[in-house]
Amino acid sequence: MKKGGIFALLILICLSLPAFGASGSKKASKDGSFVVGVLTECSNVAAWRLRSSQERVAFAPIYETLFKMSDKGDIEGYLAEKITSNRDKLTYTVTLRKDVNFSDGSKLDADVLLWNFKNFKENSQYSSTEFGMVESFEKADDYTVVIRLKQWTSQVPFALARNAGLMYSKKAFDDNGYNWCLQHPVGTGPYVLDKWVNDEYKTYVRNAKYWNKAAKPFFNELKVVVIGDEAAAQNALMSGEIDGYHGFSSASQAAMLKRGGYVQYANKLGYGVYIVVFASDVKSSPLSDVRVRKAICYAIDNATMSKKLGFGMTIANNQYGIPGTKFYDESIKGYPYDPAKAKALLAEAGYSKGFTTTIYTGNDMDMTNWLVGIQGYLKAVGITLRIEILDVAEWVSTYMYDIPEGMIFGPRHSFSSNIVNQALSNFSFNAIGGVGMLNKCMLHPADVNDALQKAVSSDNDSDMLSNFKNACKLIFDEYCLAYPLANSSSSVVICKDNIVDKGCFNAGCEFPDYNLISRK
Amino acid sequence: MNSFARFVIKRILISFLIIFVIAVFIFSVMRIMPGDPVRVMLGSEADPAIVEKIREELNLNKPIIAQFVIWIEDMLKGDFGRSLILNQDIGEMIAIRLPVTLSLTIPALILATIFGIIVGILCATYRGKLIDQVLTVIVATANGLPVFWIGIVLMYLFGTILGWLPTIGYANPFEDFFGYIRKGILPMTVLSFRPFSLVARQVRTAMLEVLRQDYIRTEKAYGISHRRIKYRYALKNALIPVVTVLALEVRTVVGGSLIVEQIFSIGGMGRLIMTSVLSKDYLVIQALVLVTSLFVILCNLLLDISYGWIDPRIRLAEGK
Repeated sequence: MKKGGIFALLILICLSLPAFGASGSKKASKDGSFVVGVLTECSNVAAWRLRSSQERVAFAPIYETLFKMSDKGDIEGYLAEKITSNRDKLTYTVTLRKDVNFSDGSKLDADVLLWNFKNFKENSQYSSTEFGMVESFEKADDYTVVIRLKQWTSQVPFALARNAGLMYSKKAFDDNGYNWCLQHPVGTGPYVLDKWVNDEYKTYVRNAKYWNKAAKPFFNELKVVVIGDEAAAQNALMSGEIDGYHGFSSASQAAMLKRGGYVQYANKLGYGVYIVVFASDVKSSPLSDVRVRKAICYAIDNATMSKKLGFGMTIANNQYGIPGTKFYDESIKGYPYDPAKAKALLAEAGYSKGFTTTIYTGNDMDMTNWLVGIQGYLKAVGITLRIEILDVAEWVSTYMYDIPEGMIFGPRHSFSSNIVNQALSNFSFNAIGGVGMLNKCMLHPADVNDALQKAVSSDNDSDMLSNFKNACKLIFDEYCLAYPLANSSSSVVICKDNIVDKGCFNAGCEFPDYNLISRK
Repeated sequence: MNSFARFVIKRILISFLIIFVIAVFIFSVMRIMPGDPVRVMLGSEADPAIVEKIREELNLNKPIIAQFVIWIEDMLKGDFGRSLILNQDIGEMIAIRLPVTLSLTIPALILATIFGIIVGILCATYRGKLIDQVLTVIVATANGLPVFWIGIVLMYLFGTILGWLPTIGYANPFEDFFGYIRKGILPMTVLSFRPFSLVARQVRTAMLEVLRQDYIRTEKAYGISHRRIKYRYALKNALIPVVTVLALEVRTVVGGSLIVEQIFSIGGMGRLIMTSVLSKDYLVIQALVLVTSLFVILCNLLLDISYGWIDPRIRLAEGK
């Protein structure tokens, strides 16, 4: 009787579980809503402070940019109608559409644009990258603002298709103050934030005052859920609690695609590069000898690593540019795997018995696997590689600044339309100023600097590309300042195959356009 | 002043001393840890001038002692400061998240206690028989399995395969009780595994020990029923050490909530600690460690006081 009672209790508990779940797991993503998971909670909310790709996924329903990048990398008007340039006068002129308003009802006009530009220059962490060359802004008429430059740069239109082009409501700022804005997003986008439970989820509803009448958002509601564990995210995707997930490692992406029923939507221009950067600022370091740097590159079989460790999600490469894009340069030779040549170069440089050096990276399992691979390849040519894995806080605050003798392994060091700026920050004399990688490194050759400065100050696409490619040839083939092993898309969302993406995540623009995603 | 009052005052003073030592320790550790919180906050590409401006605003350029004094003064005023990363009032963050964690950990401890006692009694009653052996294996397994593994397996089984339960999220019991139960079952179960196994083992051992005592034999000789002896006398005495186990397990459950909240995407204290440590949000970490320590110290203080109250020999021994 007693035993019977206990067993009856257990059976009752088991039977009650499906009853609890009946309205639960599989009902999370109804037809009217789209639920996407992200790896981490957003640290930044205000438009001028957005930084990570998770933040772009989470706040793209709310904020929109002045310009958009087409899939081919061309600049197209959006909140702004057009941008014109005058190289002689060192100006860009931005002309706004006249029908744009924010979700709080205020208009986007020249005063608001002027405030947004000034605020970005004063308070954004990207200020020096995006507006470093800007001298001042001035209002030309009710819908036109002129950007005055200190020195010519071709990168302003690209900047306005990224963070610098995100518009925040000046009315919301004036009414509520700076600190309020750091917690409350107010933009021109198709959705507004409905509820935010920190570290759990955000829900969004349609913006009743949305200016873009031509846009037809499919979903009435969006939900962004924070799932910090990849296995949990896979479970949530398989159980139907989420429709997509942003933040899977290459291994998880491959596993989900192999399982079937899922599709990969990735940014078409944004890529991360797995890159070894020779960061040494110590003259006596073996790495200060270009033959040693080249030997290291020849010793590593990046094609095999990309295949085995990238799970088909990475492309073995030898430069920043991605094959098939206008930035790719076929004439760059790179360093095809050749351990015999590596040994010969080491012997020539006086290191036939090898040496010991260090490579630094952030705490990321994916990166660690790559580093162990590199360590193995270098061991084969006599180089002992110490791996220093820094925790996230230490890595973020260190890797571009205080690396002593050794190398850096860039964790999917990402770039998109700012590919030229990225190279400029890292390898030109600008890096010494302190906002790019390698600011303490000796390796900033003058001709690399010249080529990059010419690229950034070009007034047409073909000059910019020609100078950029010239700089890349010097960086990678001539001086071997860094060794790009592989590329992977910097923003990937794995979705269930009933989700149709006509330009949301699967686009050239960094900011997803939630008007363009729907369900079959 | 009687011995019990002296005992209580002494315990409270010791608790304050421990809290102060923890405050000094956590403050020092956060300053020793590598990594610049302002760089983490603004990103590695941040303009050095802006970085310097924020450092000034956060008093990070002041001497360490001055920073410690400012922090302690603010804490005494009830001002925990603002999160560097999330830019929210830390006091408000704790007020929102602490109930979330407690609403999972307390039921987990209750579940662990109930099932632990039931299993412990069963094992003691059927000592050496099949049911004892099977349950002992289950209990030992529950104690040995890592929390994250149990979490993922249960999530896969009940969420993905069977589709009975949601695998992520949390619902406030006062707003949606049914949702709270539905979403909370798995995290609570995972959190209860270890305390359950300890309670079960403790009850089994204590029951067997008590059942061997002379007074139990005497009661049997008086003809008192086996059932009455077991539940009225043996279990009552066997439960005293269980209170100790549970009080000590509070810290295990609080620690386990770090992992459980991460796996089940629950925005409680555990997850906040995890994200704050990763992002070096040092003001939040300092406040959370202090609040968590206070909670654990309070539990231990209550346990000490209850011991002194229940057993006069303890407070008299301390008095000597």
